Formats: sequence, C-alpha cells, structure tokens
Amino acid sequence: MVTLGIDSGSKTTKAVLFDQTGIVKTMLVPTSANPKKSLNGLYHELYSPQVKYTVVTGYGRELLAEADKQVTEITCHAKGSLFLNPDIQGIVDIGGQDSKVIVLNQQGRVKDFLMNDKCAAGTGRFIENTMGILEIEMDDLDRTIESCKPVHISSMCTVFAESEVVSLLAKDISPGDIALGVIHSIAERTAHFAKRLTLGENIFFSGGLSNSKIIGDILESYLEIPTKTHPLGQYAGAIGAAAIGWEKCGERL
Amino acid sequence: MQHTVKKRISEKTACSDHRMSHRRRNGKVIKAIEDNGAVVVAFENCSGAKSVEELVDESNPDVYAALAEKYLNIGCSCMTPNPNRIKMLDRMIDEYQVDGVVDMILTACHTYNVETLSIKRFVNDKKEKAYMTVETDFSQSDVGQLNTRMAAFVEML
Repeated sequence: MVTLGIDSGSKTTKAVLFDQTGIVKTMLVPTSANPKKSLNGLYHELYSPQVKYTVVTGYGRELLAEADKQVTEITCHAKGSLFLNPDIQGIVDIGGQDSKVIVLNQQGRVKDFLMNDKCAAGTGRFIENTMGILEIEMDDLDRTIESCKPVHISSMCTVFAESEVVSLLAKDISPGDIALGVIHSIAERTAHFAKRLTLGENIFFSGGLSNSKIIGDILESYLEIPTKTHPLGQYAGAIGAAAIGWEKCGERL
Repeated sequence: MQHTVKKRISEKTACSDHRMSHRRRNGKVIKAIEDNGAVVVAFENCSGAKSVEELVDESNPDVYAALAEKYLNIGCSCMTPNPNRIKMLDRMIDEYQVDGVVDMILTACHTYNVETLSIKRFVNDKKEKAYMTVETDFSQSDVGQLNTRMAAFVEML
C-alpha cells in the first residue's frame, strides 16, 4: 500500500509516493501555464492500484478530480518538514509565489503562521526574475556567487528592483555581486517577517530556494536561529501531503 | 465589530473581527471563511455590535452628555488606550463560543493595524483562542491567497 502527495505550486509541481518505510519516490515537473495538465500528468505517471489515498496541496489543489483530499500548504509544509527533521519548532518556506512562516506546538501541530501579503516581493519569483536579467541559471547559483561581494539593493519591489539591477549592470558591477546583493535583501526581508512570530530554537528552511546552500546560510545569519535544510526541502509540501494521506489510510483501516 | 463563526463539523467556532459595517461589503472574507468549513457567528465591526450594544442613558437629564458618553464609549481603535474593545471581545468570545478570531484590517486603516498586536495577545494568551489578521481591500485580486489563508486557519483549529 502506498499514498501519493502532490504539491501543485505556482512554479513547480512536486509529487511524493509514501509507504510504511517513508518516501519511495519523488518527482518534479514545471507547473507551466497549465497547472491542471501538469498536475494530472504527474498523477497518471505515478498512479498505480497500490495508491490508496491521494492528497493534493498548493495553489492548484482543487484541480485533480481523482484526489481524496485537499489540504493547504501550511498544514502540509508543517507535516513534511517535521518528517524531514523532527527537531524543528518552526518553518520558513520561500516558494514561487508565497513566503510562509509556521510555528509548531509541542505536538508538531500548526500553532501560528504568517504568509506574505500583497505581491511577489520576497519570494522565489523575485530571485528568479532577477537571475533572469543577470543571466544566471538557478542551478548554478551557488557556484556563480561563491566568492562574490554583495552590493546593496534598496528596492524590494520586483519591478523596481529590476530597474535597479539594470542600473548596477550599467555601472559595470559583476552579475555575481548583484545576485548576492539580491539574496541578502530577500533574506533580510524574510527574517524581519519571520521575527513577527515567536520562533523556537530550530528552524527548517523549505521551498525551492532551500536548494541553495548559500541562501540557507545567509538566511540563518539574519534569523539568528539555527536553520536546517534538507536535500528534499523543496518537496516538503508534497511529503506532508503524502504523510497526511498515510494517516488517513490508518484511520480507515 | 466582531463576528463569531462556528466550525460546523467539529463544533468548533471561529470569530471574525471586521472593520467593515456591512455584511454584503465584507463578503469576500466571510465567504473565504465559510467556504472552508467554518461559520462566522459574530461581528464586532465598526457599525456592528460595537456601535449598538451600549444604549444611550435615558435617565441622564443632560441628553447631550448622555449621547456624548455613548459615542465615546465605543471601543474604536482611534481611542488610546482602548479597553472597551477588549472588554467587548472578551464577552463576545464567550457568548458566541468562538474557536478563533479573524481580525480584518482594511488597507490604510492604520489605527486598527497598530492594534492587531494587542488584540492578538489578548485572544491568544488570555482567551487561548486562535487568532489571525488579514489586511485586505474591496478588490478581488487576493481571493486566492485569502482562501489559502482561511483554509489553513480552519485546519489549525
């Protein structure tokens, strides 16, 4: 028996198969301009008669007719992050459209949470847009900015920051230095946002940006709290969805 | 004003604290709460319970003083300190047996925005109920985010 968790995010769609031993398989596809197609494609790719329960989370969570349950990404991220790292008391997630801060109680349930308001400032989309202008591939990010010196970026608005980056490039400042400056500005902003809640002693950093070790380290320096990541941090929502499905199956038996 | 909400299935209640006067006008937030499994059971908004619960003292021979007193006693965030809002929330949370409080701030209503922290501390620490604040306006642009937030809030209860 296995359960399937799918996280239909604004940027990527992630799926995780789960059994009594834990994670069996993970898969990631771009969400594209047709989230329903990406979600359904991933579902049919991974579905087998062994799949007894499917939970969908993320912005596109209502788009799969075969789903047994929809759960919000807040609950799923909490569950998935705890699965990856049981010692945590809080989660900072930087996704494509949202950033979230979640505080857990002693039972590991969501006690309080915050989501960014209004716009894409301070989200993965902001980093990705800027890296596009700088012609830096997200996968090469750590290698490109390794020994760079951050420049100060004052705009937080994605659109205004773009103008600022263009001006900096025109001053012949290296793309790596600008990229690192952008990362510092997003990390500082995220840390300020996170500090509105009382965070515990260990924080888990999830979402696509957690793939970058440098971003994790810079975020930790602004949060001033030990911050952990995991190679599967980007899958935290899908892992949580699959784990919730596993619990639901247990209730059913 | 204050809304109270009952979570139908599990008999849990969430209460929503709005700044808007008309149910029709703050339908966006109420719809997001109720579509996600909770019921709004009380409103504390400016022209809700807050402004009508206390009556004018008709026994006061100075009618102007009686009127002034009634209006000055409204627990509006433009008053500092504002203990009457806390007192009313305290009563309403018990009376309507709420599970949570949603504090809705209209964009640019700075006095309510500033007051959210003291309201949160009161609801979380003194009443031990869930609390969340949202800042929104009359547009439909944040409906998706609002839905996710309210669904997660209801899951948390």
